[in-house]
Amino acid sequence: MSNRSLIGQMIALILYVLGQVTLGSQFILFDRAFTLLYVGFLLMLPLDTGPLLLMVVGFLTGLTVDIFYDTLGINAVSALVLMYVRPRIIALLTPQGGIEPGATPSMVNMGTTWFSTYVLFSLLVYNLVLFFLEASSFRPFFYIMGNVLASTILTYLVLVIIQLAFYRKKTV
Amino acid sequence: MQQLFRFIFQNRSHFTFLLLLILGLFLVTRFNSYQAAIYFHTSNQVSGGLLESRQEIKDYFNLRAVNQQMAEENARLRQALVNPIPYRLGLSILPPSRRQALPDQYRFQEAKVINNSWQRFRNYITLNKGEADGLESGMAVIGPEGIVGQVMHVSRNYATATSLLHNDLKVSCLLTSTGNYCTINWQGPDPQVAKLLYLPLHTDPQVGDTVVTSGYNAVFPAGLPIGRIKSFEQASDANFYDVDVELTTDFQSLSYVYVIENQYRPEKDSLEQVTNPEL
Repeated sequence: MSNRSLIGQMIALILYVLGQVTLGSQFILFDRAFTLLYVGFLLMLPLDTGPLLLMVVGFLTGLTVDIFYDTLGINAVSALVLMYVRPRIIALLTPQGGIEPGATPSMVNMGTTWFSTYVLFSLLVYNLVLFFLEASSFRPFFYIMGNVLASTILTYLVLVIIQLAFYRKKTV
Repeated sequence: MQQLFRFIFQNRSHFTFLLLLILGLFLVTRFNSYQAAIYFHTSNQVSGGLLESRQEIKDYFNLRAVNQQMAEENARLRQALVNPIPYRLGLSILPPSRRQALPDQYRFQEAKVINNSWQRFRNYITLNKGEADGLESGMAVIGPEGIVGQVMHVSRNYATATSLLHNDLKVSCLLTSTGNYCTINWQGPDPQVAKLLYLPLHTDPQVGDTVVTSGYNAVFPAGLPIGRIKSFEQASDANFYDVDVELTTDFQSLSYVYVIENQYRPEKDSLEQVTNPEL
């Protein structure tokens, strides 16, 4: 990762986390659907990022968000699990021709279908860990599953809007 | 030995995952009891400051509801001035001797809610007052309509409180109609409904009966409103009723609260410590 893209990633991190704690945390529909848009930062890390770096960045980003939610460790663990499975999800979805190394898995780079499958599946993994860890039981199972699905869809829509607004095709 | 190192190195991503996972789960389950936990909550200066600015913007949108609440509380306080005995806070259930002692025992400090949630199973409230205003961990938080929670962490200018809407918070309470001491515990997900635990089957509760704080745990003064019985049923092979309580506090429109300091708390705690050292 070059210096320039490192600075770019750090700016993206700050913007995503700020967006999460100021706007995302306030955007909750029907008391069920939560907006966890900061996950978008983790999903948009370059495709050739090493698995160790992915996990450390995921854990620390989750921890930062936790501080603002008073849920110490819960977002950190969920983001860690997501970063652990991210390379596997990408490997499953990768087209035959392979992908350009160093590319960002954004909507313009990967196409709408690939992006949607990737983001929806990742958000599902993240939200499953998040909500069941938060409830620390499986008791109100269908209620929690409702939260998981509603949050996945709402966050996906928000991430698509962010993609359309801020991610441009790379001009080399 | 070399093989072991090679094994660890080859599986380093799995090991890192396990290590971080254990660290994360430790944070989730155990870390809150440590002193350092204070830096990882909304009561720290940076996150507290950010949430306060966010709240300043949001304030404009709920001015109407806050005005309404304040007006209603003013009306109750005026009523109490004219007619001090049946004061809304429920002090009428106390004997006259205790009523006299009250103003000295409890000190009220108003605070503004700058962060609040009710959608999760463990909800917290952030207040814009901290150590500098005399807040301490363990103090009671009440709203205009009833109890709200208990202060957990304080920094210089901010405090994080456990909301009553928190799976692990249990508050000793009194069912006024039968005189039974019970426990109130919120188990989610409805922010208006909590469970009343340990109400024995031989009692005769009615829908609409009032539940107030008992004053047993030295955190909440006795007689503060908590809620009314919404419904109850007798589950088979259980020793206690299954009771739903409709909470009086509307957590979705919480804006100003009072933090109560019990001046006698150290005295009560140390006395109980002497009597029962295992407590």
